[in-house]
This record gives sequence, structure tokens and C-alpha cells, in this order.
Amino acid sequence: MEALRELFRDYRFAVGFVFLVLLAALAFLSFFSPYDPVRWLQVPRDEPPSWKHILGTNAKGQDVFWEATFAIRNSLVVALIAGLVSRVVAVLVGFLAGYKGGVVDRVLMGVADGLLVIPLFLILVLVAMLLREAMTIVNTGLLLAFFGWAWDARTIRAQILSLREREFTQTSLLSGNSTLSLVSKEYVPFTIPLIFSTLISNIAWAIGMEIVLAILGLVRLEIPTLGTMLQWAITRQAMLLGHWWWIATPLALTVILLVALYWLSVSVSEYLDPRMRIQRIGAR
Amino acid sequence: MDAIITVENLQAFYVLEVMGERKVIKAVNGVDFAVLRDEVYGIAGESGCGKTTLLKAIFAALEPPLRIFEGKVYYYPNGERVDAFSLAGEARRKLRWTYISYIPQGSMSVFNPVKRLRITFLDFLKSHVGGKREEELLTLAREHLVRLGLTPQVLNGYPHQLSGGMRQRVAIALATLLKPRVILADEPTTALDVVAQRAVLQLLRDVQKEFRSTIIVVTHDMGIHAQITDRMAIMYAGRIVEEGLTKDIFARPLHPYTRYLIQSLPKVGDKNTKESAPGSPPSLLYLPPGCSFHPRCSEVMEHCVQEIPPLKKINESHWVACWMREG
Amino acid sequence: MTVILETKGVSKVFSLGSWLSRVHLVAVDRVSLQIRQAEIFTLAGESGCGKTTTARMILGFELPTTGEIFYRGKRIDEFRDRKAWFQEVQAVFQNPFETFNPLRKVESYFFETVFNYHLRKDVKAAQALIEEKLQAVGLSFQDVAGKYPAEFSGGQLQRASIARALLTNPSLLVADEPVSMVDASLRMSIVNLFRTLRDSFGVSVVYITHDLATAYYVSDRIAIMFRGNIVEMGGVEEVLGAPKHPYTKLLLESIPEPDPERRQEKAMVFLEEREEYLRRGCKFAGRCPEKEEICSREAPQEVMVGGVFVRCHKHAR
Repeated sequence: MEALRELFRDYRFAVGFVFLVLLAALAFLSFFSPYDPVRWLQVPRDEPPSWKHILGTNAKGQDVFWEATFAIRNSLVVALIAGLVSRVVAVLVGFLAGYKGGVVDRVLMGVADGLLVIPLFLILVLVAMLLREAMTIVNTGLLLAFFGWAWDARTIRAQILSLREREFTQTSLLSGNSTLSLVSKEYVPFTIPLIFSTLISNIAWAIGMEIVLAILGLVRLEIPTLGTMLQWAITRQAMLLGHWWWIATPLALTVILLVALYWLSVSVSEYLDPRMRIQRIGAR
Repeated sequence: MDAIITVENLQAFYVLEVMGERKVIKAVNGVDFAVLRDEVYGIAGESGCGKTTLLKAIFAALEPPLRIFEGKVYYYPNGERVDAFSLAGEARRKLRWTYISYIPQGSMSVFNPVKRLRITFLDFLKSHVGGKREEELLTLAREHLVRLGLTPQVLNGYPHQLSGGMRQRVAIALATLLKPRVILADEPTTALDVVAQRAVLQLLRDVQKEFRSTIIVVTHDMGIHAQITDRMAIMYAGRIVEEGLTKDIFARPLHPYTRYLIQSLPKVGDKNTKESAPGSPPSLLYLPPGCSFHPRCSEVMEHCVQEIPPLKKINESHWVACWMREG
Repeated sequence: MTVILETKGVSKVFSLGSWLSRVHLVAVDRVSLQIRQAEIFTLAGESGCGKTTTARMILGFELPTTGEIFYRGKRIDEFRDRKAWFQEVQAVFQNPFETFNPLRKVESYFFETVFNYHLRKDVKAAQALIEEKLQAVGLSFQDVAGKYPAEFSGGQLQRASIARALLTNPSLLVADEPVSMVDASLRMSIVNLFRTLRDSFGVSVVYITHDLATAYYVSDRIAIMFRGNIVEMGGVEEVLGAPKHPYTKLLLESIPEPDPERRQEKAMVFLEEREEYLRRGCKFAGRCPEKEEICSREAPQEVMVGGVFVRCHKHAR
């Protein structure tokens, strides 16, 4: 709790946090939606914002506000799946390669490098095209996760390598700690800021990537996400017809989401930075 | 006698804002001394006694949180007195490295790890010596290294390829390129083994002989002071507690702290038990009242707890701050 | 006297350079030494002489390329696991601020040691044991409780590090440059601790240093290492009192003597570590003042001269 209070002193954290809570609340609202997000023509088409439909309606005859609540929910789920799954892989691979070294290190880093050198975007497009019908929310998340761990695994490995050389590693072994508790007690506190900041940037990346895939029409378009909302708005000429509410809603939500994530990440990694923590300890 | 640096009633404190609380670390707390032309002056004391801060203040390298609260540091270029803290911009840049130079602790930080040493030397010369071609500057650097007995081949390598001792010597060579009148060396031998230490001492001696510079050496190692300095000061908790000719200090240490420092030094051929001063040095945040050394002193009197002893002249060159020597 | 640890022809070879131009560097070259019960044994030499690598092999942090290490007659790789071995042998390091993780409380290492080795069952008994060991080094549990490494002075932290090492009642303590980062005014209090450990607790100490003055003060026997070889080994009085190898003499001369009347102003040659390691013949020949023609051709063999082990051509005849 002490940590949270200190974090809230940073305006970037406070603003980012509030934005995220608002977006999460919006996503949560989707469970109370009066409309089915997939069905068309439930309301009059192309109406501008009014009291009845606060963000207007779209060309498919859907309420933009309620549609947006589904979109933000689904986009967040995709990004969280991508972020969390790739974090687990990156942490496991990074720790294992860094601590074990030798053959394990070479094999794991070989795989990571393999993923890094292939042109990621083309492969994503190719896979998405082939599996288009299977590109549900979960599968999109997993696909993004598959491509999102390699670089961060490398960064984590580098940090473990340098930590392994420090004397407290030996003290911990001399204190009778097993490898597992050595890693979790000595190394995790140093890598948490890294894991956390890569998690947030990975989430942001996944949100952007999902939008790109959707605009290219490579996911299942009937599922509302920030990406598919934009895709529909663009293909139905929302700009040309002056239906600004349809295109502005997903755009604004995306920008707010990305800015909030960025501020959170900067603020939290500054707070967790071991050097800053040591300074705070020393200054007591 | 000609002074080359004088320090007058210097108070340099670190002011920190920690969680909305203001903390003042009294690193240098009223220090007076003069360093003379052509001498090696030593400053001894343990970590956290303010000796590095004192060097920074003498070099006028004042970056927040370090602030000067009172006192002055004077330089004497061409015989005229200059206030080091009032120097600004161009005037300061001119005096730095030509009049006064600084060798910080830990020579690795001096060099750019990804550049060959030649580049570092060239960059340094380019920014201080105008109107010369690269070839000429390089020759200058080579000649300087040869003069100090180092091989000019080191210029072709990277810093990490050198051993710690060699790197330290190259750092000294870099700092003395422009033949400064005063060289400040912060713990030049710490973290080196005895053989590398000897090489550094040999080099410092050569520099002094070759350029007739004044050297101020800061180290906690009394052996180094005995080996190289002419005069020395002992610092404890931000103050000078004793100052004198090095040979007098070793022969007749007057302050109890100095006595502990000298008597606890081991020697080959002597297995008698040596005792360190009891306790630990105080935190500069919370100094004990009166004489800062009194909690560790075996000869403490009532007066010591109440009042800070002033630095008192014992003879022509020997000063001590201890109530035992009063009256 | 019982020998508790023995190394037999232990070598360590490191490969340097890239895959194409690989250089094999023999960091430790056939080192054989014995450490007896309740003695302080010094391994001395300049940086890059192989003393730390030797210590790491004794501790089992590094495996020897060739040779064997025995502890009370048992090969150390036959120990059941890391824990069984560290119950017998513990270590103290150079920089006390690196010995403990700066993000963790110092006391946690004490409790972990107690519980991992099943020394005590509950927190209260553990604390009593910790208190006992801290008292032995001149600290109390109060001084340590709840504090992070940054809140200690270097001297205090080094004592704490020694106290932690003593928890398992080890027979052997390896101390790698334990005082070189500690302030001059507190240095002797740490060195004196090693004497106490030997005299009162019967612990053997491997004391690694480049400083022959403290080595003389504290140790019983000493080995001088140079570029991977032991060049002289024997009782500390004999080796440092009447040095036989020119390198021992050089090391002794290089001690910055705390006496302004006796300054060491003789100029000396200094060579870089790597070129000496790759030298043929005697590795010290490059800067030996007593060098002969044979020295740069042939590596000297070890001989015993009056109970002292020496590796020098001058004494081989």
C-alpha cells in the first residue's frame, strides 16, 4: 500500500491509472449491453450522436457506444493474452538461458534469434491469411504472443548473465539456497522492472498489431475490436460520408489506451529501478 | 613560501530532499589549508570523511546536491589570486587541465569504453590545444607517454585491454598532458595490488620531477602517504584534525585518531597484536556533539563532548585539533 | 597436524579470443598445496596471478581442467550436493557491499543459512544462534536486524559477512581479499578476527591477498603465486623473513612501507599480465633482476630448499 501511495504522487502514474480504470469500466459495461454486438440492423443506421445513442449509430445499424464497449474488451483481452503468454515464455527462456549457460543457452538463443531475423510482419500476415477463420480473440492473442517473446527473452538473459557474476550469487549459494530460490530471491527483484516495462510495451504493441491485422482484413471481422471497428468504418466510407463518430470513437480509445499504458510503464519502471530503490533505502 | 592553492573556511554540504524531508550531509565542515608550489600534499581519512568532496570543491566541480555554504578556494595562476568559485565559462575552461587537473577514483570512468585510447587522447587535445593538425597532436601524446616511461603502443588499444594498474597510469598521463601546475589524485592506488601501486607511485614521482607540479593525493592508505607525500592532513568527519610534515606525523602523531591509524599498520617482521580504533566512523548526517572522534577515543574528557576543538599550532609546521593539546 | 584440504596438480585453462584465433591461457598451472587444521594459509600475489581462480576451484564454484581436490581424503566432487559441501567450507569476499544483495535485508541471509542447513528449528532458536555468531565478530543482532546493506559501514558489513559464514561451523573459511575494501582504521579488527577464529574455534582460513604485511601478521604458512604457478611456499617466517625467489623479494619491496624515512624509489620494470602468461620458460624472466640465460628457455622445476618450496633456476642447482 505504501508503494501505491508513493506511485500516486507521480502524476503520470495517477493519470495513466485513472485512464486505464475508465477503459476497464467501459469494457466491463459490455456485459450489460442491450444489444448483441454481432447482429446488424438493431437500431436505425448512420445516426449522429443523440441522447438515445450517445455516440451515434453506424452503417451496420449498431449503437457505436455499446459496440465500443465490446471492442475495448476484446482488444484488451487479445493484448493481455499476447502480453502475458509472451512474458511467461520470455521469462522462462531468459532465466534458463542466462543461468544455465552452455548448450541450453545456445539452443534457446538460437531459437530466439531465428524468430528475430525472419520478417515478422510478412509471417504474421501469411499465418493470419491461412488461418483467417480460426482468428478468434484467443488465437489472435496466441499468435501475437508467439512472435512477441524473443527480444525480451534476450534482454532478460543479458541481465541474468550479469547478475550471475555478482558476489551475492555466491553468498546465496553458500547460504544453502537452491537454484530455484536463488533465482526467485536474488534475481527476480532486479528483473521485475524489466519484466513489467516489457509487459506494458508488449501489450501496446499487441494492440497496435491487432489493429493492423484487422485493417488488412486478416482477422474475423464480425468480432468487434478496436481494429475491426476501424476496418468497418474505413470500408464503409465513414470519413467520406462525414460519420465522424464512427471513426473517432475507436481512434480516441486507442490513443487514450496507448498513452495511459506508456505513462504507467515509465512511472512504474522508474519506481522499481533497483538504483532508485537502493537510494531510497540508503536515504532513510 | 608560494602557495598554489589555498582553502579558507570551506563548508561544502550535500543537500538532499528525501521524501519531502531536507537532509544536510556535512561532508566538508570548515576546512583551512594551503598547498605550496612543488610539493606533494596528502589527505588521509577513511571513506565518508569528506575527502573526495574536498577534492571536488578544490576542482570547483560543484554539481547539485553538492553546495558551497561558506568559504573560498583560491588558485594562483601567474602569481595572481583567483577565486575558484567565481570563475565561469571560458576562464574556468582555460584553467582546467592547464592549471589544475583531476584524476577521479576508478580510472575506468575516465575513458570511453568503446573508443580506442588514441581517440580519447586526441579529443582531449583537440578541445584544449587549438590550431594543430591531428598528426602533430598524436605526436604530442606519444612524446608525453614516452616521457613518463609508458609505451605509446597503449594508444592503439581499448581501455578494457589494459590491466587496472596500467589503466590508472594512462589516466594519470591523460590528466597531465597539458602539464598542469596542480594535480588532484583521488585514491589513485585503491583496488590495485602492491606491484601496480608501486608503478603508480613511481609515475606520480616522475610527473612531479618532470613538470615540477604540485600533487594532492587523497587516500586512506597511510603507507602511500609515507611513501610519497611531503606534508599531509588527516581528515575525520569533515574536518582536518591534524596537519604537518609527513615525517613529523609518522614520528610524533598527536591526535589519538592519527595514532590509531599509524599504530595499527602491520609490518613484515612484526607479529605483535595491532588494534584498530574501536567503533565506526560517524554518519555525516548526524555528527556527535563536540569532537567528532570522542565516541571512539580512549582519552576522552568531559570537554571533548561539549566543544569542538580548534586546529591549534604546535610548532612551525604541525597543527592538531585535540583538547589534549590545549594549554 | 591433520591436513584438511589438499589440491593435487590442479590446473585451470581458459580459452580466450574468438573462435578463429583462440589462445589457451593457463590461469592456474599444476598447483599442489595442503591446508592443515587450524591454520591460516595465505595465497599471495598480484592481480591476475591465479589466486582467486584457485580459491574458486577450492570452493567448487569452478571445476579444475585437470587435477583433483581432496577434503579430508574425499574428492570434493564426491560430495552429495552443494549444500553438504558448503556446510564444511564457507567464504568471505572482497567487497562487502557486493556480498549481500542490495535489495535484500542482510538478516535474511542469516536466517536462510540457519534453516537451509537445518541448524535450528524455529525462529527464536535461530535468532539465538545468529546472535552468538554475531557476538563472535563484535556485532549484535540489534545491529543487523531489519537493515539493508546500504545502511552499514564497510567494516560492519564485512564482519556480518564473516558471522554468516560461521553459522554452519565450517572447518575451512576462504577469504578472498577480505580487507582490501575496508577502511584502514578498521582493517586490523577484521584481520584480528581471523586469528581469533583459528585460535578459539579451530577454523582453518585460506587468506587471499596481495598485501604481504597483513599476510605476515596473520598467517602461519604462505604460498606466493605468479602467473598461475606457486613460486615459493612454506612457513611465513621463512618465506617472508628470508625470501628465496626473486619475485617474493619484489613483492616484499613493493609494500608501501609506512615509514617516510624509508622510501622505495628504485625504478622497476612493469609488464602486462597477458604477455607474461604466454611467455615460454620462467614467466618472471621478463622483469627478474637476477635473470640468467636459461630462464627464458626452460621453465624451472620446483625444489625444496630448507623446508621451503621454490620454483627458480637459481635454486635448482
